[in-house]
Amino acid sequence: MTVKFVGNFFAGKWDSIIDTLSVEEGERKAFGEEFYKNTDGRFNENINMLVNAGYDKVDTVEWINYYPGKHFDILPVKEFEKFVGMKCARAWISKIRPGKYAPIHQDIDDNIEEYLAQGELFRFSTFISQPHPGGVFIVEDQCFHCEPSGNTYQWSNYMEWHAGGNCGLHDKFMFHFLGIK
Amino acid sequence: MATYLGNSNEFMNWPELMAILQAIPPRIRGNEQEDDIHIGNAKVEKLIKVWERAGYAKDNAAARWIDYLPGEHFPIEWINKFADWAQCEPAGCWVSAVPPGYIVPWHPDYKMPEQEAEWLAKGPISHYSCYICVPSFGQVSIVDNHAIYNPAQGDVYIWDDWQDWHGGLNMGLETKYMFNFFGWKK
Repeated sequence: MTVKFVGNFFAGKWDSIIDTLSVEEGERKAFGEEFYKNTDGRFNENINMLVNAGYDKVDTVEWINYYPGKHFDILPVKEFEKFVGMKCARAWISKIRPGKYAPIHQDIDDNIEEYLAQGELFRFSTFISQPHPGGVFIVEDQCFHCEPSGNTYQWSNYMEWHAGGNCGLHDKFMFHFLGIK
Repeated sequence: MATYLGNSNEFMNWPELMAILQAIPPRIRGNEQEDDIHIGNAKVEKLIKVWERAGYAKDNAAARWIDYLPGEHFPIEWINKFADWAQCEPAGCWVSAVPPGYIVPWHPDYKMPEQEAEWLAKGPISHYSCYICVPSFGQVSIVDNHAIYNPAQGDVYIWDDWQDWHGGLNMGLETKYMFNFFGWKK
C-alpha cells in the first residue's frame, strides 16, 4: 500500500468552504501558464514527459489552486495541523473541472530545500467535495473515486507520482497538505 | 456497477488484435461528432446539453476518444469469438481507445430508439468490457460509482445494466484500449 487512510477531517464543513471559492478565481495551472515557478528548470523533465505524450496538443490539462489566507480562511490548515500533529509547510485546495486533468506528475516544489531543512516531510490529501462519479485521483497504484467528503489519506512518500482527472459532471475539489514532523 | 467475470486471455489473442488496431487509423469520436451518428436522437441531444452545462464545450477537444469497428477496422471474427467465450449471441461490439489527455465524458450508451426496442424485444442485453492492453498508469474506467483501475490484459467485466452511466480517463502516458460487447446470454 502506498497510501493509508488516516481518518475523516472537517466532515460537514467543506461544502461551505467550497461555496466561498466560487467567488475566487484561484490560480489556473495549464500549458502556456505557470505550472510551478520552476525557476531553475527542476520541473522541465516532467513537462517534457507530458509533451512527448501529447498533452500539449489537447485542451484537457488544467487544475485550479486556491491558497489559505489568499483564497480561503486559514482555519482548516490550523485544524489540520492538529489533526495530523505536524506543522504546515504548504497547503492548498485544488479544483478539477469536468473534462480536465492534472496528468501524471510529481509535486516538485521550488522551496523544498527550505522545508526539508526543518524536518521530515509528509504528504496528505483530503477529498472535500461531495462524491460524484467521474472525479478520480491516483497515487501510484491506488485509484480513489467517490470518496466521502473529509476522507484523508497519507502518502507513503511525499514525492509519489500522482494524477487527477474528471470525466464527470461536477467540479472535484481536494485539500492537500505537506507537513513537517 | 461492473462485476469481474474472468480473464479471457486463454481464448482470445488480444496482443494480435492490438497489433491490428495500432497499424491502422482509428475513427475519431467526440462531443462534436456524437450527433452525426445519432441524428434526431432526443436522448443524445439531451445528453449533449447536459455535457455543455457541465462545461464540456461542443468544440472542446477534451471530450474525445477513438474507436474501431468490426468489419471496418478489424475482422468480424473477433465478435463471434468473444461471443463464444461469453456464451452469448452477439448484438454488437467495438474497440474504444483513449489516448493520454483524451476523455470520455459521463454518459450511457444510447442507440437509436428503434434499435433499442428491437434489441430489447429479443431479450435482456448484457454489456461486457474487456481490457485488451497491458495496464499502464492513469488509465481509469468508471461504471456508475465503480472505478476500474489496473485490470490485467484480458480481464472481462459485465455491467449491471447495459445502459449504465460510465466514463473514461487517461492521465498517463500510454493509450488505453477496451473491447466493448453487447449480446444476449444463451
